[in-house]
Amino acid sequence: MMKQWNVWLIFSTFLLTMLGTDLTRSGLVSSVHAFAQSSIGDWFHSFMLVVFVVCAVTFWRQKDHLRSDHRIESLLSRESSFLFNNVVLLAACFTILFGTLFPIVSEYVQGNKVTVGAPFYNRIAIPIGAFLLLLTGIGPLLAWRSGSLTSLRRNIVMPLTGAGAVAVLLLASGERPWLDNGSFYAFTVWVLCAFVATAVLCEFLRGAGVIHRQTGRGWLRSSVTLTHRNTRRYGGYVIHFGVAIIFLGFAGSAFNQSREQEMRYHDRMHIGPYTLEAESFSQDSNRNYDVEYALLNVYDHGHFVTTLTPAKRFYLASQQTETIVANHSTLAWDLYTVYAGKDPQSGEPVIKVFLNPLVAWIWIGVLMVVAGTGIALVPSRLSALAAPVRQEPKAVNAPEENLVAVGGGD
Amino acid sequence: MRPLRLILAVALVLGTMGASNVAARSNALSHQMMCACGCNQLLGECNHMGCPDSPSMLAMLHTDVASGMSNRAILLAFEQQYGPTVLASPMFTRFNQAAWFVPPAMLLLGLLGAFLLLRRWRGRTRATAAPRAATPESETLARVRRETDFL
Repeated sequence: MMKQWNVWLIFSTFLLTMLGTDLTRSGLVSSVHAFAQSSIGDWFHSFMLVVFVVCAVTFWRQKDHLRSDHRIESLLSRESSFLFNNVVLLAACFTILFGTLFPIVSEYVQGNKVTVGAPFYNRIAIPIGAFLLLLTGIGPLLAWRSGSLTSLRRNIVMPLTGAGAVAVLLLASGERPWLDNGSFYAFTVWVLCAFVATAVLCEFLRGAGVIHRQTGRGWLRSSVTLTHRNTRRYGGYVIHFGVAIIFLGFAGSAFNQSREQEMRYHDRMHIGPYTLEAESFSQDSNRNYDVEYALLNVYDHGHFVTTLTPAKRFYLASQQTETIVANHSTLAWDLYTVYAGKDPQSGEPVIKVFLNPLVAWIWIGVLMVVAGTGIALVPSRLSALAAPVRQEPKAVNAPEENLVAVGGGD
Repeated sequence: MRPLRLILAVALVLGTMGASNVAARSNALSHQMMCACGCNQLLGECNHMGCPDSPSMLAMLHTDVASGMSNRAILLAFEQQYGPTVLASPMFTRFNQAAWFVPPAMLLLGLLGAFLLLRRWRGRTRATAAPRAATPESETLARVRRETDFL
């Protein structure tokens, strides 16, 4: 299905990467990567035009091979959810492209540039992302080819229960989503993450439960067998789970904190659950750079955690200053400390601290996405998934190879 | 003595409520503006040592909030003084409204287009579907599909 659409998505991806390079390097959009003086612009634009023409000609010459037989039996089907998923991802891509180009368009139309920064993307892109997360949970609940409202209602009960339970837990733990936009979006995303995670877990449990009942094997082994029988499907579910974990980490950014303070010896700074005490400040130099650094003892509710040494280097050859961040990461918090230098008036060291919650979960989610991709690439153990079911009744302890997956999977 | 302490406590809470509101509003508004020093950071997050602009901008912001100016009036005052690029996102005026309307409109149009396309494909599928002969094999497949609908 949608072969022509997929081919143009590939062409558009390549063209947009070149457009992004052009916007930043040319200085059309203010960027530290803009070249100071260069005549490459005309050549680069010509190259982009050539690439577009090649894509269009290739498509035109091959379009007969790209004809698809578009068959949809139900609007409530997994195939339909793919198309909606595509639309939402394209809308997210368009939002970023539009926001990037709007200052240029505004200058052309109104005569003055405007800034399109974080508040715009927070207000527009976050709801699109939340909708995408919702689709990530609903997709696995839909059957291939032809679903029904009845089956969707039946399959959605457990994910909704999981989402509701998490919502109640969050409210009970002190979350107040009505306080501001950040709290509202974080609450919504965490509830949707619970929805997606429960939907994926239910898929595994249902399939593993059938194998467990038929073969008597343990749940873990049944899950492995289930996955091995249809690696693309269940690898995809692992990827969905990983995406939910990534969004869980993203939502933590609504509660980022930062603090900047002059710190003398044994001065303390409090941020979140941590207390930082300035142990000492020192200087050093070697052949490559001069360095000033701070030794900060970090305490969590009075218990010593670690010592951080943020530093500021001055490289002698390039005459450039570089800040070396010291950080401490846990599953709950990422604590970054920056030695910002000395206050020009008082001469005292200034320490800047950032406390970002749930960042580690973004990395965990990425690892799960990679793992799910690896699982999906493993060949499935059973190739004849479409084989007709045998007429003779099965024995109770028949090997799991005789079980045929019907109505699901790729 | 106890009622006096209670009165003092209430007065302290009421008296500092305004201060926390001013601080909260200033913080929120500082994240809706860009630092004028050219660092491309939000005013509330500019972390340049010795930044020539952010201390005075933050002081002006705090004064405006404490004086009771509305958020819109404060943003317009900063736009007047530092230019339109000081605002971190376009204000909802004239052509700038397009920045806020166009992306959600494109999403809604896309979803509507997808829905109409799916309906067309579904109609085409039903029109060209050949009647299935009731063979034992297809009956078995249909029964298995019904019974394993959960999978």
